[in-house]
Amino acid sequence: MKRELQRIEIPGEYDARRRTWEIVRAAYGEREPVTWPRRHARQLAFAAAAFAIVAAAVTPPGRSVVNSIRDAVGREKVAGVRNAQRELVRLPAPGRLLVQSPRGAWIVQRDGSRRLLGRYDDASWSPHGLFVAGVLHGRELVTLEPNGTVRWAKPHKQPLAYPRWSYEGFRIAYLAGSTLRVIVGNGTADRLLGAADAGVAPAWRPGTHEVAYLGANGWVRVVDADARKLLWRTPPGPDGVRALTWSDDGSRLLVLGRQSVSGYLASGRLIRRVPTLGPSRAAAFAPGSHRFALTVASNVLLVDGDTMRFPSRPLFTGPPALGDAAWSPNGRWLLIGWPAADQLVFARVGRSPKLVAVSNVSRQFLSRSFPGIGGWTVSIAS
Amino acid sequence: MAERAWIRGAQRGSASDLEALFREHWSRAYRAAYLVVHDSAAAEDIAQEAFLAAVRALDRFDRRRPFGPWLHRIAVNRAIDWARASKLRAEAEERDVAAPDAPQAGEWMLPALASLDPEHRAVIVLRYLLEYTPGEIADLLDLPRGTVNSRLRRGLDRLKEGLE
Repeated sequence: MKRELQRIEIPGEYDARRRTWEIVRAAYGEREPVTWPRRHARQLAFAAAAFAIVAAAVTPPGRSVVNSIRDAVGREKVAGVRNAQRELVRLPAPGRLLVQSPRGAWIVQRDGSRRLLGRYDDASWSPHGLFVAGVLHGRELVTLEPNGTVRWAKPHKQPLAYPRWSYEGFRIAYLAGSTLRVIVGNGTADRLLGAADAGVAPAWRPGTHEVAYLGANGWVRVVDADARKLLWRTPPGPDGVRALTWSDDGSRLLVLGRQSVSGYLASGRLIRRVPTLGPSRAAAFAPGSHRFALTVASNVLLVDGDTMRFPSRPLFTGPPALGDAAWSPNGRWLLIGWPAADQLVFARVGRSPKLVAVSNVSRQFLSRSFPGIGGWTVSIAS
Repeated sequence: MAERAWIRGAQRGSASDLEALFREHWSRAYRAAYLVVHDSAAAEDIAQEAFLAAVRALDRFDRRRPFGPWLHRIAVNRAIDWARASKLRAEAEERDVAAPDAPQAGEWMLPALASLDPEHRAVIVLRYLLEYTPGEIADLLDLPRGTVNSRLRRGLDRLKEGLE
């Protein structure tokens, strides 16, 4: 075959070659002489990067980067944040954590003690942390107290997922098969709301009974659950939808795509759609703020939800990829899952940033795989 | 090793090193383009554009990377674009296009190639003229490897049918 392709004679090949060389040589002669900085741009960039790494080592968020680079080169293993605690002995901020492992849902108290609630999936806190909703065996919607006492259970024929509480706990939205349903918080008046994508959790708008969800046709829909009325909808971006989340005051909705994030006003007007330049994982608004944490590949970014402008540097970097993110109830700490390092990283945000990390997370939750973060809620006493 | 030295020399201003690069690579780039577009004037333009792009990017070029695949990526992708656009123009304007240049050797191959889509021609040329592996072709054309394999198989089948 190669011989046959080479044997094909092309008319005028010699002249074409001569003409082309003349033009290429002329273009080469006209190009600007390369200055020293341009010629040595690679070396300069390398030196700058080396300086940045050294500089990063003196800041707590940077230490994780340094460790990761060393491990990737040396041991081909992500060691995570240096001096991480081997046990989760205390949460750095008040409240309780809900952790989802393959063994089930766990509650972690401020003092680090943890309780396995049972084999519940997709567990979520009620607004004040008085109850937990979860899915048992994939087909039973269950609400229970944090001590494990079941309040009520509702079985379904279809597979269930993502129960989510409204702001005051009077409604729970959940997915049943490819539909969105809403049930009153005491387990009565279960109603179908519409066809939904089974892969994205619904999100209640705080202070209302309006719920945002991903419709079966890929459009994001915001409906009044009590009136069963569509309020507005928006077409899908080219990269689909991964998650939906509202700001505390209910004035901003984030639509997280696989490669972008879009901010909307409560009226449905788009603020801005921004490419994330990497696979997005999670987004979470800081309590009482329009600022949100965005996990993209190995970076956590703090983004202003009013302008949707990205910061110049990430809050934290953990190669090769980070997982879930959840804010402490007081909004001062951000909890980040780092599966490759098997660590939970608590990053204090503000004028005096600080990192606290816990390693061996999978083992602590009796699992071989890294657990998910279900939420960080207030203490019952508070 | 010689190629790296030519690139380094060309980056430093040596026209003779650039000419050595040109001699080494022009013929294959031009032939590859011709076999995709089947028009010698267009192939000349495409190969010329590819080399001009190389000159413009010379200072930024990473000498550790081979020059050939970089040049062939430009040439073959532009040839595919040209062939597609040419086909659309012919359909839209419903006019006769110029007859392809008549080859004196390999004459059975050219009409058989012409019966393929530009995308199939491109993978045949990259595989059998420029001798890239399917994985390398996938990288050059930004295609999944499975797509490259299926285009190769389909292209070869249709070449055989054409010859029979």
